[in-house]
Amino acid sequence: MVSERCWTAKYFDGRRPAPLWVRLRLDEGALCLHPGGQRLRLEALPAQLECLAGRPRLLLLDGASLEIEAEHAGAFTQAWQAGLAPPGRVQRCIASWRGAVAALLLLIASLLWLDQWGLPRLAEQLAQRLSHQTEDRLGQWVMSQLQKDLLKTPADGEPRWRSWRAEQLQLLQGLEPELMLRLSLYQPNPRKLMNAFALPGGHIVVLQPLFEALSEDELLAVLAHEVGHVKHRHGLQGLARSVGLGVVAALTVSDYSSVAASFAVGLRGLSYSRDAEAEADAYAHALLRRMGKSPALLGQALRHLEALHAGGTSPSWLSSHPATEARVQAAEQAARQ
Amino acid sequence: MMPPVNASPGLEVARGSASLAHLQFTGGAAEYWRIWIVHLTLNVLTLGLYSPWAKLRKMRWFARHTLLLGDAFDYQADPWRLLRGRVLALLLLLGYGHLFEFSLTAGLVFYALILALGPLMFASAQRFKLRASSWRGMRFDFHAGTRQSYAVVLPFQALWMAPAVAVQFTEFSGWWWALGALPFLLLPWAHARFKTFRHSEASFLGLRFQCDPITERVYSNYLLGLGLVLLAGIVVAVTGALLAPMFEGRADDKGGHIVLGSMLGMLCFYLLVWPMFAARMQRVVWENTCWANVQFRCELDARRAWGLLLRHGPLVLLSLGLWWPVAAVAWARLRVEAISLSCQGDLEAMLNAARPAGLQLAAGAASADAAAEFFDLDLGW
Repeated sequence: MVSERCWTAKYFDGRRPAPLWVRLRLDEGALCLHPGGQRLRLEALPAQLECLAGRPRLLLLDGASLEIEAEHAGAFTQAWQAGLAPPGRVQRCIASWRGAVAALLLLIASLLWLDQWGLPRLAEQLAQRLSHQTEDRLGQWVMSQLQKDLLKTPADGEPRWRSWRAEQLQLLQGLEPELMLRLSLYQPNPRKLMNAFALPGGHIVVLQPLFEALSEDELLAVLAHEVGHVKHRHGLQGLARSVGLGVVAALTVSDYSSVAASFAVGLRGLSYSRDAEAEADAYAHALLRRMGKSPALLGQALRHLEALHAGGTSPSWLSSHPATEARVQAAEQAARQ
Repeated sequence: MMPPVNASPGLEVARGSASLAHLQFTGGAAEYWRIWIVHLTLNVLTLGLYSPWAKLRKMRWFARHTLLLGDAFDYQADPWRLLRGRVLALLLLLGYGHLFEFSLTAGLVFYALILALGPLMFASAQRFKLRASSWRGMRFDFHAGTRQSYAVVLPFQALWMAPAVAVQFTEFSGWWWALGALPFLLLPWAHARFKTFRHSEASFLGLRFQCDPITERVYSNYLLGLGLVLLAGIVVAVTGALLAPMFEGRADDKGGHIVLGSMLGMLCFYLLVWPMFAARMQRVVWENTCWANVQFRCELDARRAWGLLLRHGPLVLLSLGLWWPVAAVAWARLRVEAISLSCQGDLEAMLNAARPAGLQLAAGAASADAAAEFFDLDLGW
């Protein structure tokens, strides 16, 4: 049935930019061509038919090609695929809406899986596999970068700090003997910056304005929160996650827009960071209780800090930390338990 | 019964002897959307290994939907070579972005390497792309030799990379800034040379394309772009000042500031400056290009580019990117259909008469892939 049909096609010989109208017939496994009345039988055809863009086309071995008339494109493709070469899986997927929607669902599922399970698990594994030495070196490197600007002036010599640090380290040594903690005090470069943070490898940096503003109990709560970051190795995990996110974004979006990719990474990274903060808070609640203090101290410290900042807030999806109010409530709830 | 050969769709032969042919784009958004989503999924599932095959099909789809005189362009290449090119491009990209963060020397060595290899890589990527492209079964080609490539690409590259290197050596202060900005005065010059070079080293049927010098018009484009950047800067600054009270004192939330600030800046740049700049650059280049006695014309202007962005931009954002393919097809249509060819004499007759020089090797046209050197890679991402 197929072999009885004749098709009109444009023949490009690959030597001149001029099309030649020919007739062709599909015989079993081969194809007969009559360019300009001459009859050819082309046995050794590449099996592949390009039917992209609704213009089915056959590439011949000598660099020539045949293009089927647009009106009969569909019928020819069918005849070709039935007789000679069925379309590949990807081709079939592209040809139908069902395939495309299935691809979309699969894409959403795999992105969700990567985001919720794959990347965090990968980061965790990496954090576990990496030796403490490597982590320490990474921390040292981050520190050296920070010392160029933000942390230009160390303030470790201050007597009140020294005694406080010795006391806390001793206390923590008893509670978390396996953690290697290092505490340092710095006068930050924007002088009023009020913060404390933990780096990979157990470096905890306290900025002097914070040290001066908070009471001893509040400082302890902040310290407990930072120890939480060290305990969960958030620095390293954050790094691994952001690299993983970057790779996924590069795969999905950057062929189309690298700007969109970097925004996606940035926003998702901030949300990972909020999760890590909540985790560190939860750790701090438990640690404070083990020290015989109330978890509510963390809430008190956060309130105090917010009052000192005396400012508005940015929308929560653009923030690296969860909203203060939520954190305070979590601390107070932990205290009630 | 058979359609006559000389009835060329899209060709207007005027009364005298001039003819005008418009490029047509026939691609539909629905079809491209399906291709796009399937490719995206396969890229994610294979961690990017599928991307050369995806790119090939994508390029071919766009080429097959671009018609001149009723016949489609084509894009045929070896996906494995594309894969090799991608691996190389990825390595370079990683180095480009991050090496300075680790060590100054590593960064500098890397930049030197890019400068040394860049022109060769550009020429080979361009050759790859043009040899993969064909129309009516005839492939394009790119001829630039090594010396020429260095002479043109090196200055452009060096000027482009200058700021990233300069930042490593200078503090952001005082008049050094102004001095450091001086080389930028040359950037449009280098860019213009680069564009001219890219067009005039290309050939079809053994005949070179020719591109007239466009330096002056590129300078005026840059000036206009700079004006718009300043305008955008003012808009961002004013918006920032208005929004500032929302953020004041939240020192621990610097990340948020930076994300928001760069979002606004980027948005202004992409909405305002980029469409105008891209549209005008394309227009300048094509309007100064000819091939044999065919003169190209280009009707792309900033207004149409802005219009497209206004129509599709919000939808892309609202659909979390799922509208992107539709916008990409619209942009391709705009760009392709803006171009037309005018010819003294009958274009079709001229093509029919063409006896391509050096086409004894035509029999080998299909094996051009195989003949190409190892380094003929496609580096595009």
